[in-house]
Amino acid sequence: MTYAKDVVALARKDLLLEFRARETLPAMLLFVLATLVAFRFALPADASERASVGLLWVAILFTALLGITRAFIPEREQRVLDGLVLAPVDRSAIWLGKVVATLAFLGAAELVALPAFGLFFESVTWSTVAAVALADVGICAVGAILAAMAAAGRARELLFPVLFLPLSLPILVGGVGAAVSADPGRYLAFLALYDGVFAILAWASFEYVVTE
Amino acid sequence: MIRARGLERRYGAKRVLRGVDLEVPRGGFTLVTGRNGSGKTTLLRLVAGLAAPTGGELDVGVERGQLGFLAHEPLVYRELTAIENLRLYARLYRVPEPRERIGMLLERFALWDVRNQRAGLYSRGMMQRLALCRALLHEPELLLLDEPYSGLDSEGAELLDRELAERVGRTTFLVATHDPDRLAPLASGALAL
Amino acid sequence: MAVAAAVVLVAGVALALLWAPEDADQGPSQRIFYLHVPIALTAYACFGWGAWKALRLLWTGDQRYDLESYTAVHMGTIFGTLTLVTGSIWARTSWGVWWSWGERQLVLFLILFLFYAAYFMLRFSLPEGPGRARISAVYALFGVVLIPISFLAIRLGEPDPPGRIHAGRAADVGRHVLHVLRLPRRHAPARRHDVFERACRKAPRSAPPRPEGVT
Repeated sequence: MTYAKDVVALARKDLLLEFRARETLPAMLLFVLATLVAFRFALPADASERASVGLLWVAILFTALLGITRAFIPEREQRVLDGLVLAPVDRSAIWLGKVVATLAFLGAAELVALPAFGLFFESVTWSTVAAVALADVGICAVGAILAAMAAAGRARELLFPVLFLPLSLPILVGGVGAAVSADPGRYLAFLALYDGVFAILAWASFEYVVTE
Repeated sequence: MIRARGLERRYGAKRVLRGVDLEVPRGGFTLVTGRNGSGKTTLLRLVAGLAAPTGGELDVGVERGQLGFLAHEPLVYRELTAIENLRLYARLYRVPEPRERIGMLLERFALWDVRNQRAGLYSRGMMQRLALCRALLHEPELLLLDEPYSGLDSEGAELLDRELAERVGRTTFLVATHDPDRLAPLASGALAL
Repeated sequence: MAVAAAVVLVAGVALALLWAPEDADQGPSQRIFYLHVPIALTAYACFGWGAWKALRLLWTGDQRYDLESYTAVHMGTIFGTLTLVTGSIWARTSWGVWWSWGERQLVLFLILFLFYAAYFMLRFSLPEGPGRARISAVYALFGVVLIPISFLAIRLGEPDPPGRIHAGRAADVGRHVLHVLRLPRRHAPARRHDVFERACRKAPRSAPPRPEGVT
């Protein structure tokens, strides 16, 4: 129970920080819209339905990249992360708090992106929404721990996308597959598997990323 | 409470600490002195558990919840107010009756009037006092202080003197300082790096 | 020990390239396949070994495991790159193209290459010390989990071609094993393929006459 309270306190802190700074979320919203418009121009006029769904996923991934790159910036500046690590808190709660907060930001961006996609391209099916929801969990779970790794070194804003993209490729397969396939169940199950496996791994190993 | 033998910490090829022996008994007050770059901060970080030694032995007899660390950096979120920062730490350190405790500390360090201001707007001295509030919030048994007087004006320094004097004997101290004379009366041990 | 390893290695390569019988369909350049498979398997083994050493580091805190894990990942990346190169050459000799998105192993190794290349970038950006060791170790663990997950994803991501008789890993391995086992049958002439082999090799490629990714 105290674990849950810790996670809530940490997630609230991140949401509060964003509410004050108002930097990341507006950028994500604008970015995802602009990316979708750019894709519209980038595709030839007779592009297939499959191609445009793929681009929705790319837009979501890149928007997530934008948002998560900044995930540990408040802690990184002035080493505030030390303050959290010193506390008698399970370090995985720090990770989980970040995941919850990032999910909120990504979800907010998608609330804009999905209707926009429906408007610019074609309507969004339930399987796409389900896939996006499942994929979000994986993206945030993996993204949070990778962001902490990148934040520990130099050139962190350059490094995070490089770390994140290979691990996000299976999510891309699952997401696009669920959206275009006649049988989305397999792909959704795969996304759930991805989420489960990597979330457990990230949860268990976050401690080792922020301590020596 | 703290015992170190042959403690060593390397950063790549550079050895910041070599062969440090340290013993701080419960209730002791040990000063750590040395030039800039002699490894005072590194030693404190090792004792705090924020860094791992690359050689030697270190044994610190308290848990994380009983350890207070005043670092070189204030370790507070600049976009949050003093109250919000302390509330978060009170939650993480499981401080009982957090409201009262926070209020009392802010008053003792003369920050009550600015408690709802974002920490990023604080002056250097105010920030240092806020950091002290954070370090003392959970009444730790072991206090690690890295240059506690830096940035404090005379008023702030007096507040700190008072807090330290109150805790000597009940709390164990390891203090890194440039200015050992000020704390010499309280000190029971010293380590020169 | 090193000398013995070098001798065996050279002998193996020589055997593969010179002594093995010519493939009936593809001719001498197909022999690259005898290198491709073991190299791929070695890469997997290296990554697995690196992950094991990473786990040992996290478990015991003994810093020597950091070097062992790093070395294993390094070797694995070299072998992985070689897998991509030999696989590409094989694709060229088999189908006339330098790349094929239909070849699961190639795609998997491409993803792994991207992942493990990032390992080195990560390591390079961190200051040397116990912190870097831990972070590298966690990343290596992510890598070894990525291998089966990516493989599943690649399988899922393929459209099912109509003529495929045996879908799946078993058929791939079976094909590989058959190729290797043909080694002793030096006088197996072109005509005398057994039906299973012909089915495996012909069927997946007969429906789309060329692999995907090629227009």
